[in-house]
Amino acid sequence: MVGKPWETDISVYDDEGALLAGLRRRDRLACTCLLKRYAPALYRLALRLTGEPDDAEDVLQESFIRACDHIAEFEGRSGLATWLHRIVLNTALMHLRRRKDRQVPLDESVDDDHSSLAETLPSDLPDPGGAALTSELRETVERALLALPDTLRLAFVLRDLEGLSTREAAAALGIGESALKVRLHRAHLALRAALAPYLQEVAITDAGRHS
Amino acid sequence: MTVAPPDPHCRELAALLVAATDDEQAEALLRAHVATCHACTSAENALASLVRRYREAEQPPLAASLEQRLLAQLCGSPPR
Repeated sequence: MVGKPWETDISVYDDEGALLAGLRRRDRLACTCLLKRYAPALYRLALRLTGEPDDAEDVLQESFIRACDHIAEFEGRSGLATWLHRIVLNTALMHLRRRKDRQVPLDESVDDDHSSLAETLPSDLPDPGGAALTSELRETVERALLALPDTLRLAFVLRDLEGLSTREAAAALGIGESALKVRLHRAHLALRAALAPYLQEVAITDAGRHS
Repeated sequence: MTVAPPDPHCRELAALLVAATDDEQAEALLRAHVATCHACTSAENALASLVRRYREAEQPPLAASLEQRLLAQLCGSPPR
């Protein structure tokens, strides 16, 4: 029976080795599995990097095409997820450079270009208590993150969320390490202001857990 | 433990950074400030804790419409 790709049972490729073999055979089902398994996390990464849903979708599409085209070159030294992660990161940075070239320069002043995105996220204040991050609080963090100007958001995402070293993050952005650190501090200040009520609760929860 | 929103002094520091042209000097200024500012230390610790939870949180699924668009674009016609 022939079905739509989004209705496909992907359990046939649960094993990463089998999935890789399928991708190398250009099996369309393997491509579907690849996307269904990894796209959610990679989309969030692309969105955090680009700050725009449409750009994130473009980056994700370009990244998957690139991954499928170069799957033969994947040597398996890192996991498939790590490899895809790196492709999305590089693709997003290239996308941002192109965007910078054709639009206004990356400006560090806060603007309201993200108002349309903010409208797509819920605005109810979450209960920040508890150790686990609720979906509402996660969305609040993302909204604060996406409201940052590109330069500050990229420094924060690469260094604090993606765990790149200062040197790696600075190199990825084509700036010096000191500049990266200053942007990171400024991103922290902006996030502290945006998330102040939640940080208060986090501090109280953490203090209670350690007492 | 309490975390105060950025106090006026921290805001002043942030404002100074906007005008700073020497990144190394600005970084040294920031580092010295954060090391001695209780509000900044508490807030930085709380932010680090929140970021850690954010990183560890489960990823939400893709919106169905987005997944369908991507699958149609990347996988084309249904697998056989």
